[in-house]
Amino acid sequence: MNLGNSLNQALIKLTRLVIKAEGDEREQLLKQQEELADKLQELVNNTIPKDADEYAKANGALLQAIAEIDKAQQDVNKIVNVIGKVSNAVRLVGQLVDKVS
Amino acid sequence: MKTTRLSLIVALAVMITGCATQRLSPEQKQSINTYANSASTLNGLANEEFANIRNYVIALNKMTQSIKPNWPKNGDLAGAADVEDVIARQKAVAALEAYAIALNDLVNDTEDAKLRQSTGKFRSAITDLDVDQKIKDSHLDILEKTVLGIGRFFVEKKKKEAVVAIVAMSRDQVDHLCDLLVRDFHDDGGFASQLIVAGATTQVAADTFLHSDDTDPAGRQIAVEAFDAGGNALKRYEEVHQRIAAAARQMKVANGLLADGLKDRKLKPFKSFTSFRESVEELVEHAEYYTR
Repeated sequence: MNLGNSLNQALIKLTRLVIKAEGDEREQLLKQQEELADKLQELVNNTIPKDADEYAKANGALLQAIAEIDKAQQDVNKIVNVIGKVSNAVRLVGQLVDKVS
Repeated sequence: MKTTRLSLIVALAVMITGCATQRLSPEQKQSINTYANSASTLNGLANEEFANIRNYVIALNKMTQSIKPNWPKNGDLAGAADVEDVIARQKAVAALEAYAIALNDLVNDTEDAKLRQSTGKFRSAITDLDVDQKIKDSHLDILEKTVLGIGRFFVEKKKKEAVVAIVAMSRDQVDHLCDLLVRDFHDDGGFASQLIVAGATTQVAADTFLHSDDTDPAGRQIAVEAFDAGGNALKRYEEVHQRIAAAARQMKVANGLLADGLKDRKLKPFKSFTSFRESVEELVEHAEYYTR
Protein backbone atom coordinates (compact mmCIF):
# COMPACT_ATOMS: atom_id res chain seq x y z
CA MET A 1 0.00 0.00 0.00
CA ASN A 2 1.37 3.46 -0.82
CA LEU A 3 1.44 6.20 1.79
CA GLY A 4 -1.37 8.20 0.20
CA ASN A 5 -3.68 5.24 0.22
CA SER A 6 -2.67 4.36 3.80
CA LEU A 7 -3.43 7.92 4.86
CA ASN A 8 -6.79 7.82 3.05
CA GLN A 9 -7.68 4.54 4.79
CA ALA A 10 -6.47 5.76 8.19
CA LEU A 11 -8.56 8.93 7.96
CA ILE A 12 -11.68 7.06 6.83
CA LYS A 13 -11.37 4.45 9.58
CA LEU A 14 -10.50 7.00 12.26
CA THR A 15 -13.55 9.08 11.29
CA ARG A 16 -15.77 6.04 11.85
CA LEU A 17 -14.11 5.36 15.19
CA VAL A 18 -14.58 8.95 16.39
CA ILE A 19 -18.32 8.53 15.84
CA LYS A 20 -18.28 5.44 18.06
CA ALA A 21 -16.10 6.91 20.83
CA GLU A 22 -17.25 8.84 23.89
CA GLY A 23 -15.89 11.16 26.60
CA ASP A 24 -12.19 12.02 26.79
CA GLU A 25 -11.24 9.39 24.26
CA ARG A 26 -13.60 10.97 21.72
CA GLU A 27 -12.04 14.39 22.37
CA GLN A 28 -8.53 13.02 21.81
CA LEU A 29 -9.57 11.13 18.68
CA LEU A 30 -11.35 14.25 17.36
CA LYS A 31 -8.14 16.22 17.63
CA GLN A 32 -6.14 13.47 15.94
CA GLN A 33 -8.71 13.08 13.18
CA GLU A 34 -8.39 16.80 12.39
CA GLU A 35 -4.58 16.54 12.39
CA LEU A 36 -4.73 13.57 10.04
CA ALA A 37 -7.11 15.44 7.71
CA ASP A 38 -4.68 18.38 7.69
CA LYS A 39 -1.80 16.05 6.77
CA LEU A 40 -3.83 14.54 3.94
CA GLN A 41 -4.65 18.04 2.69
CA GLU A 42 -0.93 18.85 2.66
CA LEU A 43 -0.28 15.66 0.74
CA VAL A 44 -2.89 16.72 -1.83
CA ASN A 45 -1.21 20.11 -2.15
CA ASN A 46 2.36 18.77 -2.44
CA THR A 47 4.26 16.05 -4.25
CA ILE A 48 5.95 13.66 -1.85
CA PRO A 49 9.19 11.90 -2.83
CA LYS A 50 8.55 8.17 -2.52
CA ASP A 51 12.24 7.40 -2.14
CA ALA A 52 12.64 9.48 1.02
CA ASP A 53 13.50 7.44 4.16
CA GLU A 54 10.63 9.14 5.95
CA TYR A 55 8.16 7.81 3.36
CA ALA A 56 8.53 4.15 4.38
CA LYS A 57 8.62 5.02 8.09
CA ALA A 58 5.46 7.12 7.86
CA ASN A 59 3.70 4.47 5.80
CA GLY A 60 4.65 1.77 8.31
CA ALA A 61 3.31 3.88 11.19
CA LEU A 62 0.05 4.47 9.31
CA LEU A 63 -0.38 0.76 8.69
CA GLN A 64 0.15 0.08 12.41
CA ALA A 65 -2.41 2.76 13.25
CA ILE A 66 -4.91 1.23 10.81
CA ALA A 67 -4.46 -2.20 12.43
CA GLU A 68 -5.17 -0.71 15.89
CA ILE A 69 -8.21 1.20 14.60
CA ASP A 70 -9.57 -2.06 13.15
CA LYS A 71 -9.15 -3.76 16.55
CA ALA A 72 -10.84 -0.85 18.33
CA GLN A 73 -13.78 -1.00 15.93
CA GLN A 74 -14.41 -4.50 17.31
CA ASP A 75 -13.70 -3.56 20.92
CA VAL A 76 -13.93 0.09 22.06
CA ASN A 77 -11.82 -0.73 25.13
CA LYS A 78 -8.85 -0.79 22.75
CA ILE A 79 -9.25 2.87 21.68
CA VAL A 80 -6.50 3.78 24.13
CA ASN A 81 -4.01 1.86 21.94
CA VAL A 82 -5.20 3.73 18.86
CA ILE A 83 -4.31 7.12 20.32
CA GLY A 84 -0.61 6.24 20.68
CA LYS A 85 -0.33 4.72 17.21
CA VAL A 86 -2.14 7.59 15.46
CA SER A 87 -0.04 10.11 17.34
CA ASN A 88 3.13 8.43 16.07
CA ALA A 89 1.77 8.27 12.50
CA VAL A 90 0.78 11.96 12.52
CA ARG A 91 4.27 12.89 13.75
CA LEU A 92 6.04 10.85 11.04
CA VAL A 93 3.75 12.00 8.21
CA GLY A 94 4.33 15.55 9.46
CA GLN A 95 8.11 15.10 9.19
CA LEU A 96 7.70 13.89 5.61
CA VAL A 97 5.36 16.70 4.61
CA ASP A 98 7.64 19.31 6.23
CA LYS A 99 10.38 18.28 3.81
CA VAL A 100 8.38 19.43 0.80
CA SER A 101 5.98 22.13 2.00
CA MET B 1 -3.07 -22.90 -71.83
CA LYS B 2 -3.44 -25.45 -69.05
CA THR B 3 -0.26 -24.13 -67.37
CA THR B 4 -1.48 -20.54 -67.58
CA ARG B 5 -4.83 -21.47 -65.98
CA LEU B 6 -3.02 -23.35 -63.19
CA SER B 7 -0.70 -20.37 -62.59
CA LEU B 8 -3.73 -18.10 -62.34
CA ILE B 9 -5.40 -20.38 -59.81
CA VAL B 10 -2.21 -20.58 -57.75
CA ALA B 11 -1.76 -16.79 -57.89
CA LEU B 12 -5.37 -16.27 -56.84
CA ALA B 13 -5.01 -18.74 -53.97
CA VAL B 14 -1.84 -16.97 -52.76
CA MET B 15 -3.64 -13.62 -52.93
CA ILE B 16 -6.66 -14.89 -51.00
CA THR B 17 -4.48 -16.53 -48.34
CA GLY B 18 -2.37 -13.39 -48.12
CA CYS B 19 -5.43 -11.23 -47.67
CA ALA B 20 -6.76 -13.56 -44.97
CA THR B 21 -3.61 -13.19 -42.88
CA GLN B 22 -3.71 -9.45 -43.41
CA ARG B 23 -7.14 -9.04 -41.91
CA LEU B 24 -8.35 -9.33 -38.34
CA SER B 25 -10.05 -12.61 -37.51
CA PRO B 26 -13.54 -12.50 -35.92
CA GLU B 27 -11.96 -13.54 -32.59
CA GLN B 28 -9.39 -10.76 -32.83
CA LYS B 29 -12.11 -8.26 -33.62
CA GLN B 30 -14.12 -9.46 -30.65
CA SER B 31 -11.10 -9.11 -28.34
CA ILE B 32 -10.44 -5.58 -29.55
CA ASN B 33 -14.14 -4.73 -29.22
CA THR B 34 -14.21 -5.98 -25.64
CA TYR B 35 -11.13 -3.95 -24.80
CA ALA B 36 -12.29 -0.79 -26.58
CA ASN B 37 -15.82 -0.84 -25.14
CA SER B 38 -14.50 -1.30 -21.60
CA ALA B 39 -11.87 1.42 -22.07
CA SER B 40 -14.46 3.81 -23.45
CA THR B 41 -16.86 3.16 -20.55
CA LEU B 42 -14.13 3.49 -17.92
CA ASN B 43 -12.89 6.81 -19.24
CA GLY B 44 -16.36 8.22 -19.80
CA LEU B 45 -17.14 7.42 -16.18
CA ALA B 46 -13.82 8.84 -14.91
CA ASN B 47 -14.52 12.00 -16.88
CA GLU B 48 -17.81 12.50 -15.02
CA GLU B 49 -16.24 11.56 -11.71
CA PHE B 50 -13.66 14.36 -11.83
CA ALA B 51 -16.50 16.89 -12.07
CA ASN B 52 -18.49 14.99 -9.42
CA ILE B 53 -15.58 15.17 -6.97
CA ARG B 54 -15.34 18.94 -7.28
CA ASN B 55 -19.13 19.33 -6.90
CA TYR B 56 -19.25 17.01 -3.87
CA VAL B 57 -16.30 18.76 -2.21
CA ILE B 58 -17.97 22.17 -2.58
CA ALA B 59 -21.34 20.85 -1.36
CA LEU B 60 -19.74 19.14 1.66
CA ASN B 61 -17.72 22.19 2.63
CA LYS B 62 -20.82 24.42 2.37
CA MET B 63 -22.66 22.10 4.76
CA THR B 64 -19.71 22.04 7.14
CA GLN B 65 -19.48 25.83 7.01
CA SER B 66 -22.91 26.12 8.64
CA ILE B 67 -22.08 23.80 11.55
CA LYS B 68 -18.32 24.27 12.10
CA PRO B 69 -16.81 27.70 12.77
CA ASN B 70 -13.93 28.96 10.59
CA TRP B 71 -14.35 26.35 7.89
CA PRO B 72 -12.78 25.88 5.37
CA LYS B 73 -9.48 26.86 6.93
CA ASN B 74 -8.17 28.65 3.86
CA GLY B 75 -11.61 29.91 2.81
CA ASP B 76 -11.59 27.91 -0.43
CA LEU B 77 -14.67 25.71 -0.77
CA ALA B 78 -13.23 23.61 -3.59
CA GLY B 79 -9.91 22.92 -1.86
CA ALA B 80 -7.43 21.57 -4.41
CA ALA B 81 -10.24 20.63 -6.80
CA ASP B 82 -9.86 23.75 -8.98
CA VAL B 83 -11.81 24.03 -12.22
CA GLU B 84 -8.50 24.04 -14.14
CA ASP B 85 -7.44 20.80 -12.44
CA VAL B 86 -10.74 19.16 -13.31
CA ILE B 87 -10.48 20.27 -16.96
CA ALA B 88 -6.87 19.05 -17.31
CA ARG B 89 -7.88 15.64 -15.98
CA GLN B 90 -10.97 15.49 -18.17
CA LYS B 91 -8.79 16.15 -21.22
CA ALA B 92 -6.56 13.22 -20.29
CA VAL B 93 -9.43 10.76 -19.94
CA ALA B 94 -11.10 12.21 -23.06
CA ALA B 95 -7.95 11.25 -24.99
CA LEU B 96 -8.19 7.67 -23.68
CA GLU B 97 -11.89 7.58 -24.52
CA ALA B 98 -11.25 8.91 -28.05
CA TYR B 99 -8.54 6.27 -28.51
CA ALA B 100 -10.99 3.51 -27.51
CA ILE B 101 -13.76 4.83 -29.76
CA ALA B 102 -11.41 5.12 -32.76
CA LEU B 103 -10.22 1.56 -32.15
CA ASN B 104 -13.78 0.30 -31.89
CA ASP B 105 -14.80 2.05 -35.10
CA LEU B 106 -11.82 0.58 -36.92
CA VAL B 107 -12.77 -3.00 -36.14
CA ASN B 108 -16.47 -2.57 -36.77
CA ASP B 109 -18.31 -1.95 -40.02
CA THR B 110 -18.13 1.77 -39.60
CA GLU B 111 -18.91 4.19 -42.42
CA ASP B 112 -15.88 6.01 -43.86
CA ALA B 113 -17.09 9.42 -42.74
CA LYS B 114 -17.62 8.29 -39.13
CA LEU B 115 -14.25 6.55 -39.11
CA ARG B 116 -12.52 9.72 -40.24
CA GLN B 117 -14.45 11.66 -37.62
CA SER B 118 -13.42 9.35 -34.78
CA THR B 119 -9.72 9.34 -35.78
CA GLY B 120 -9.92 13.12 -36.16
CA LYS B 121 -11.35 13.38 -32.64
CA PHE B 122 -8.57 11.15 -31.35
CA ARG B 123 -5.99 13.44 -32.94
CA SER B 124 -7.48 16.61 -31.47
CA ALA B 125 -7.85 14.97 -28.04
CA ILE B 126 -4.16 14.03 -28.08
CA THR B 127 -2.95 17.43 -29.24
CA ASP B 128 -5.19 19.13 -26.65
CA LEU B 129 -3.57 17.32 -23.72
CA ASP B 130 -2.18 19.26 -20.77
CA VAL B 131 0.22 16.40 -19.98
CA ASP B 132 3.26 15.24 -21.98
CA GLN B 133 2.28 14.39 -25.53
CA LYS B 134 4.07 11.17 -26.28
CA ILE B 135 2.76 10.65 -29.82
CA LYS B 136 4.63 12.37 -32.63
CA ASP B 137 2.60 14.53 -35.04
CA SER B 138 4.17 12.59 -37.92
CA HIS B 139 2.69 9.36 -36.51
CA LEU B 140 -0.74 10.97 -36.24
CA ASP B 141 -0.36 12.07 -39.90
CA ILE B 142 0.38 8.47 -40.91
CA LEU B 143 -2.69 7.23 -39.02
CA GLU B 144 -4.96 9.78 -40.70
CA LYS B 145 -3.54 8.92 -44.14
CA THR B 146 -4.09 5.20 -43.49
CA VAL B 147 -7.70 5.85 -42.49
CA LEU B 148 -8.25 8.10 -45.53
CA GLY B 149 -6.94 5.29 -47.76
CA ILE B 150 -9.33 2.67 -46.43
CA GLY B 151 -11.81 3.38 -49.25
CA ARG B 152 -13.47 0.46 -51.03
CA PHE B 153 -10.63 -1.93 -51.89
CA PHE B 154 -8.76 -4.18 -49.45
CA VAL B 155 -10.86 -2.60 -46.71
CA GLU B 156 -10.09 -5.23 -44.08
CA LYS B 157 -6.35 -5.20 -44.82
CA LYS B 158 -6.21 -1.42 -44.52
CA LYS B 159 -8.32 -1.41 -41.39
CA LYS B 160 -5.91 -3.86 -39.80
CA GLU B 161 -2.99 -1.61 -40.78
CA ALA B 162 -4.76 1.29 -39.11
CA VAL B 163 -5.47 -0.74 -35.95
CA VAL B 164 -1.84 -1.86 -35.74
CA ALA B 165 -0.68 1.74 -36.29
CA ILE B 166 -2.96 3.35 -33.70
CA VAL B 167 -2.23 0.75 -31.00
CA ALA B 168 1.55 0.81 -31.55
CA MET B 169 1.87 4.59 -31.68
CA SER B 170 -0.41 5.12 -28.66
CA ARG B 171 1.14 2.60 -26.30
CA ASP B 172 3.38 4.99 -24.33
CA GLN B 173 0.66 7.62 -24.24
CA VAL B 174 -1.95 5.15 -23.01
CA ASP B 175 0.47 3.84 -20.35
CA HIS B 176 1.17 7.38 -19.16
CA LEU B 177 -2.49 8.40 -19.04
CA CYS B 178 -3.50 5.18 -17.24
CA ASP B 179 -0.77 5.87 -14.64
CA LEU B 180 -2.18 9.37 -14.11
CA LEU B 181 -5.65 7.94 -13.66
CA VAL B 182 -4.38 5.47 -11.03
CA ARG B 183 -2.57 8.30 -9.25
CA ASP B 184 -5.66 10.49 -9.14
CA PHE B 185 -7.87 7.78 -7.68
CA HIS B 186 -5.47 5.85 -5.50
CA ASP B 187 -1.98 7.25 -5.08
CA ASP B 188 -0.31 9.79 -2.77
CA GLY B 189 -2.52 12.82 -2.40
CA GLY B 190 -4.37 12.06 -5.64
CA PHE B 191 -7.33 14.13 -6.74
CA ALA B 192 -9.84 11.81 -5.01
CA SER B 193 -8.16 12.42 -1.63
CA GLN B 194 -9.69 15.90 -1.63
CA LEU B 195 -13.09 14.26 -1.31
CA ILE B 196 -11.88 12.19 1.66
CA VAL B 197 -10.68 15.31 3.49
CA ALA B 198 -14.04 16.99 2.88
CA GLY B 199 -16.11 13.88 3.66
CA ALA B 200 -14.25 13.02 6.89
CA THR B 201 -14.37 16.61 8.13
CA THR B 202 -18.05 17.00 7.33
CA GLN B 203 -19.12 13.75 8.96
CA VAL B 204 -17.23 14.45 12.19
CA ALA B 205 -18.40 18.08 12.30
CA ALA B 206 -21.99 16.89 11.88
CA ASP B 207 -21.58 14.23 14.55
CA THR B 208 -20.09 16.81 16.95
CA PHE B 209 -22.98 19.21 16.25
CA LEU B 210 -25.51 16.46 16.93
CA HIS B 211 -23.71 15.66 20.22
CA SER B 212 -23.86 19.33 21.24
CA ASP B 213 -26.59 21.16 23.19
CA ASP B 214 -27.53 23.18 20.11
CA THR B 215 -31.26 22.63 19.61
CA ASP B 216 -31.79 24.84 16.57
CA PRO B 217 -33.97 22.61 14.33
CA ALA B 218 -32.55 24.04 11.09
CA GLY B 219 -28.98 23.43 12.28
CA ARG B 220 -29.79 19.90 13.39
CA GLN B 221 -31.46 19.16 10.06
CA ILE B 222 -28.33 20.33 8.21
CA ALA B 223 -26.19 18.24 10.57
CA VAL B 224 -28.22 15.09 9.86
CA GLU B 225 -27.87 15.63 6.10
CA ALA B 226 -24.19 16.50 6.44
CA PHE B 227 -23.55 13.34 8.46
CA ASP B 228 -24.96 11.18 5.66
CA ALA B 229 -23.28 13.18 2.89
CA GLY B 230 -19.88 12.91 4.61
CA GLY B 231 -20.31 9.17 5.09
CA ASN B 232 -21.34 8.72 1.45
CA ALA B 233 -18.22 10.58 0.28
CA LEU B 234 -16.00 8.15 2.20
CA LYS B 235 -17.94 5.18 0.82
CA ARG B 236 -17.58 6.61 -2.68
CA TYR B 237 -13.79 6.47 -2.36
CA GLU B 238 -13.91 2.87 -1.17
CA GLU B 239 -16.52 1.59 -3.59
CA VAL B 240 -16.03 3.68 -6.75
CA HIS B 241 -12.65 5.40 -6.78
CA GLN B 242 -10.68 2.31 -5.80
CA ARG B 243 -12.41 0.46 -8.64
CA ILE B 244 -11.55 3.20 -11.15
CA ALA B 245 -7.88 2.86 -10.15
CA ALA B 246 -8.00 -0.94 -10.42
CA ALA B 247 -9.68 -0.79 -13.84
CA ALA B 248 -7.12 1.77 -15.07
CA ARG B 249 -4.33 -0.61 -14.04
CA GLN B 250 -6.04 -3.40 -15.96
CA MET B 251 -6.49 -1.16 -18.99
CA LYS B 252 -2.75 -0.50 -19.09
CA VAL B 253 -1.98 -4.23 -18.94
CA ALA B 254 -4.64 -5.07 -21.56
CA ASN B 255 -3.35 -2.36 -23.90
CA GLY B 256 0.18 -3.77 -23.61
CA LEU B 257 -1.11 -7.26 -24.47
CA LEU B 258 -3.03 -5.84 -27.40
CA ALA B 259 0.04 -4.01 -28.72
CA ASP B 260 2.23 -7.12 -28.35
CA GLY B 261 -0.43 -9.38 -29.85
CA LEU B 262 -0.91 -7.22 -32.92
CA LYS B 263 2.83 -6.89 -33.40
CA ASP B 264 3.31 -10.67 -33.31
CA ARG B 265 0.19 -11.35 -35.42
CA LYS B 266 -1.08 -13.87 -32.88
CA LEU B 267 -3.75 -11.94 -31.08
CA LYS B 268 -5.98 -14.35 -29.21
CA PRO B 269 -8.94 -13.80 -26.92
CA PHE B 270 -7.20 -12.69 -23.73
CA LYS B 271 -8.24 -13.59 -20.23
CA SER B 272 -7.25 -10.12 -19.07
CA PHE B 273 -9.63 -8.51 -21.58
CA THR B 274 -12.47 -10.42 -19.96
CA SER B 275 -11.37 -9.50 -16.45
CA PHE B 276 -10.94 -5.87 -17.59
CA ARG B 277 -14.51 -5.94 -18.94
CA GLU B 278 -15.81 -7.50 -15.71
CA SER B 279 -14.00 -4.90 -13.59
CA VAL B 280 -15.52 -2.09 -15.61
CA GLU B 281 -18.99 -3.64 -15.39
CA GLU B 282 -18.62 -3.91 -11.61
CA LEU B 283 -17.39 -0.31 -11.48
CA VAL B 284 -20.43 0.91 -13.44
CA GLU B 285 -22.79 -0.94 -11.06
CA HIS B 286 -21.14 0.61 -8.00
CA ALA B 287 -20.98 4.07 -9.54
CA GLU B 288 -24.68 3.92 -10.38
CA TYR B 289 -25.53 2.72 -6.88
CA TYR B 290 -23.51 5.43 -5.13
CA THR B 291 -24.80 8.16 -7.44
CA ARG B 292 -28.46 7.48 -6.64
